Amino acid sequence: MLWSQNTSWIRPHDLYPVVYIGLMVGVVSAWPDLSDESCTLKVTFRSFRLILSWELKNHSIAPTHYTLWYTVMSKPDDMKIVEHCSNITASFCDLTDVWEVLPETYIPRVDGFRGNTMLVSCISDFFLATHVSLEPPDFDIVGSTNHINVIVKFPPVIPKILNGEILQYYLPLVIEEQSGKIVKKHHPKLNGNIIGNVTYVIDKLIPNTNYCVSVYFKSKDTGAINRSPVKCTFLPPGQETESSESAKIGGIIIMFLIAAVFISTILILKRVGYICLRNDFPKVLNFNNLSSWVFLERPPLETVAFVEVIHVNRKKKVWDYNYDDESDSNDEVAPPISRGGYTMHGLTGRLLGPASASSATLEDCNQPDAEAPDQSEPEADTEPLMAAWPSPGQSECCKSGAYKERGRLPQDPVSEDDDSATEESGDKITFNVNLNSVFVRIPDDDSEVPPTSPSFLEETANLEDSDETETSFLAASGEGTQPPLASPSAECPWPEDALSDKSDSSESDADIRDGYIMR
Amino acid sequence: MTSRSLPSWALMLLLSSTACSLDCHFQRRGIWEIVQHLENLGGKFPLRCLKDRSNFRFLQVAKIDQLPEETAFPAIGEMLRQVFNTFSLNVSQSLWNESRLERLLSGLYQQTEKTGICLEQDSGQEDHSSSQREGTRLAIKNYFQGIRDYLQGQKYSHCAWEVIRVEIRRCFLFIEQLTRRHRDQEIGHLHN
Repeated sequence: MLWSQNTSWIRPHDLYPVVYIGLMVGVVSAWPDLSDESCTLKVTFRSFRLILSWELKNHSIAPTHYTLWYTVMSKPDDMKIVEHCSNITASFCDLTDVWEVLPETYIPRVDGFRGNTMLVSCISDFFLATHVSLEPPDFDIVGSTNHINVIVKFPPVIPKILNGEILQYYLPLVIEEQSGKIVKKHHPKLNGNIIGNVTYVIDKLIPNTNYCVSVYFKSKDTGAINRSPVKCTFLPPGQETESSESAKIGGIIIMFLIAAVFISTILILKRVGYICLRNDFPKVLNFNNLSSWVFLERPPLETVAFVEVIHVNRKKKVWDYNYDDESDSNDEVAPPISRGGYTMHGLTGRLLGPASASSATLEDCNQPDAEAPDQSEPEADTEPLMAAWPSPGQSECCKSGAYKERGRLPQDPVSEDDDSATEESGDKITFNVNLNSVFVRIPDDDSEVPPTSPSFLEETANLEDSDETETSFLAASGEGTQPPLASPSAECPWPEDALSDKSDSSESDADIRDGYIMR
Repeated sequence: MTSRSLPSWALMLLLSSTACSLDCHFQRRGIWEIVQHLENLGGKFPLRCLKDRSNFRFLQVAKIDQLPEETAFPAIGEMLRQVFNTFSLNVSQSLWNESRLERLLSGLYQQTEKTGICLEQDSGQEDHSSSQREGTRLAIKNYFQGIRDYLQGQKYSHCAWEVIRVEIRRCFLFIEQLTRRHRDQEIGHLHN
C-alpha cells in the first residue's frame, strides 16, 4: 500500500480553509447577483399605475407563484415584502403606492416558487427618474373644419410620483400629427396637478384633409418611444367664403407676380438691347391727331385764309366797230378781254394770319367759248373754281388743279354796284379751277385791289349782292396747326409775295409780265 | 452717443444679460449627460455590495422647496466641485473602466466651469442672502465630507465606490431640479 502515515503530508486541518472557501464561493455563487440574468425586471406605467413586471429567461422553469421584496439604496435597510404581491400567480405587481420617492433607487427582488421550493430569484435596481418608462395613454380625437381636439385620458387621481416631476420633465407627453408625409410634433405642457382628461387643440389645419394622430410619453433619459395606436379623422371642407377668399387672394397675388415678372423681363431686355421698341411710327400710324381724324374738326377760323371770289358780271359788249373812247365808263366795267380769249375772274385771297394780310388775286382763265359775259358768266359763275393755298407737300396740286373748296354757287351773279359783296358773308362757293389753264396775276400796288375790299378790281367792278357774294374760304396754311392742305411755302407755286400787303406786283418780278405769272 | 441711441443700447444690454442668464438654465442637458456617464460607469449595482450601504442624510439637509431661490446657483456650483473632488480621490481600486471615468470627470469639469460663470452673474445680488448661501454651502460641504469619510473607512473598496456612485446620482437629480426651478422663476420674472 502506498498510502502510509509518512506520505500523508496533507493534513486534514489544512483542508479546512479550502473547504470553507469553497463553501463560501458556493454560497456566494448561490446568491443571485443584481446582474443575474435569470429573469428580466421592468418598471413601467400602465394607465398611470407604476407596474413592476418580470419575465423568466429560462422558460423551462415555471414557478407557480411569486413573492416580491424590495429595499432602497439610501438606507442600509433589509428587504421588505410587498404584502399585496406575496404569493401571487401574476408576473407583475402594482407598486404605485409603494414607490413614491423619485430620487430614490429601489431594489426589488422577485422569488419564484413551486410549492415551497424556490426555483428562481431575480433582483435589480431602479432609479425611477431615468429607468421608468411610460406606456402611451388612451386618447380620443374630434375633428373640425380646421382643427382637431385631442382628448388624453388621465385617471381621476394621478399617482404622487407622476404628479410631481415625472410627467412634467422626465416623461413629457408628445402628440404627433401626420398628414401625408408631413409629421408635426406637439408638446403640451402638463402642470403638476393633473385632474381628469386633458384636451389639446391642434389648430391651423387644412380643411378637407385627412389627419392622423398618435400620442406617447418620451423618455428623457433613454429617448425611447412607445407610440399609441394611430387614430385618423377627415376634416370637413371649410366655408366657401373662406376658401374662395383665400383662393382669390392667391390668384391675385399670382397674377401680380406674373405681370411683374413679365414687365421686368421686358425692361431688362430693352435695357440690354435685346429688343428695340420703335418710336418712329409710319405716318399712317401717327395717331397724335386722332381726335381730328375722328371728328374731322374744322381748322380754326383764325388760321384760315380767306379768299373772296368776286364774280364779275360783265356785260357782253358787242363791239360796234367804234374806236372811240367814249365807251369808257366808270359805271361800266368791262372786263378786259385778254388776248387769246381769256375770261378774267377776280379771286381775292386774304390771309388773316400773321404771315400776310394782303390778298391775292387769282384769275381764272376760261375757254374762249366762255367769253361772252352774259353767257359765260353764268357759266363762269357756275363753273366751279378751285382755289386753295397749296400745302408744301402738295405743290403738285397746284399744277394738277382741281382743288375743291366748300361753298356754293351763287344764285345770282355779281351785281354791279354792290360793294357789300366785299364783305364776308356766310355764303360759300365751291368751285373747281384747273390751274393748268389759269394764270395767277399778282395785283399792282396802285392797282385797284385794296386788301380789304374786293372792289379794287375795276375790271371786276360788278359785284354781287352781299347775299350772293361769292366767297370762298381757302384753307391757308399760314399757321402750323392746319391740316396738310393749308401751308403756303416755298414749294407752293403761289408766291407768298402775292399774299402780302407789300406784294410786289411790279414788273421787276421776272416772272410777272403784265401782271401775269406765266406758268 | 445721442439720447436717442441710449434706449436701444440699454435694450441690447438687457437682452444680452437675459440671454446669458437663460443660457445658465439650459445646463440641464449637461447634467443629464453626467448622469448618463454615471450609469455607464458601473452598470447594475452589485448585490454583494448591499451590505455596504450607508445613510448619508443628504435629503435631510436640503429640500428643494425649502431652498431660497438665490442660493440655487451657489449650491449647484458647490456640489459640482465636491463631486469632482470626490471622484478625483483614490479611485484606482474601483473596477471601473478608465475611459468611462475620464468622460465622467471631463463632463464634471465642464459643468463646473459653466456654473461658475452663471454664479458670477448672480454675484451682484444683495448681501442679505449671503448668510443663506453660506449655510447651504456648509451643509453641502458637510455632506460630501461624510462621503469622503465613508470611502476612507471602506478603504476605497469597489463596493464603497458603487455605493457612492448611486448616491451621487441622487445629487445630480437634485441639481437638475434646482436648475429647472431657477429657470422657471427667472422666466416668470421676465414675463412680469
